Amino acid sequence: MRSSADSRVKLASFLAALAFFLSAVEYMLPRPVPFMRLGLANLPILLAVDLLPFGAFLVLVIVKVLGMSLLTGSLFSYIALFSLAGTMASALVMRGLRLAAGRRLSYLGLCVAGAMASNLAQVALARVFVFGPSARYMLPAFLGLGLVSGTLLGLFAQLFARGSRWLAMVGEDADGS
Amino acid sequence: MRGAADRPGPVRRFAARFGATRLDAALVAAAAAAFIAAALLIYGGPSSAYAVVSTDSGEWVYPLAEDREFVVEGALGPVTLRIEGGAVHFHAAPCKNQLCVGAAPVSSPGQWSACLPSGVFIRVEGGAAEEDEFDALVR
Repeated sequence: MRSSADSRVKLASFLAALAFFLSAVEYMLPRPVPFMRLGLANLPILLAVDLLPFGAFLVLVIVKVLGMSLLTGSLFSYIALFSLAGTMASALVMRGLRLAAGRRLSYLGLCVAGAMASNLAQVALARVFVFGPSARYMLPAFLGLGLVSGTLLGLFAQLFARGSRWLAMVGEDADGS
Repeated sequence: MRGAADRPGPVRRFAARFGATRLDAALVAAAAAAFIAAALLIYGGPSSAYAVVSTDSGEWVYPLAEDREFVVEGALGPVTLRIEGGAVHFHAAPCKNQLCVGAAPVSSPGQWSACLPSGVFIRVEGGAAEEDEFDALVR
């Protein structure tokens, strides 16, 4: 019992560290448009949908947002709020879909749904706090970006998940506990 | 459709390679549909500009896309505004000189019209911003 809780803490920490690292990688990549992101740092959250219990999952989401905001220097700006809303929406949608659809959805579907949810949440926030009604003109662009980045990341996650022995191992552990 | 059973098409092969499911395909299709619908609705179609009508007693917003006539309460009495063909104008007002009624309809974002004695002000907002219009050009 003790060791399984222990390994879960280790797994959560590892995924959080991975999110930090991927945030740094993402920050290095050039961005043609400020909001255009691949969402690499969401990969650990996507994997955690199946690996972590709900509480630890939420903690991972918050740590990812904090890490990303620290790295980009946006922690005490409204951008961090957007990041939190987007990541939280995407995480909850992915978790909910996994609960509802189980294995009938692969990481591809989860990731696309998560990306769309994240971008919708950010457009909604932009409408309330920044741009007012004209935020609707961002909507198609954001949905399109979410579709593309979600598909790319989802396909990558799917390839990774099918090839990774590590994931198979921790996945078994998570199922067993 | 030749050999569909023994030779899977590119989509199938792609799905098999990535382990994508039918539900995945449905979800991606739904996301794509949402994107296309949003793009058509928001970037296409008739002007999505709207008229913001301000009076002493409040502010109202009317889309310019549909024709209609409406009455707001001005300082001197009811003021009738009319939206026609994507433009809004003062149709009737209780003011003395009727300048507002004579003024041209406004339709593009940034344009405005007013009936000063009534304290009624209309401005057009939103819509596809007329980017090729400018206030001034410095050479």
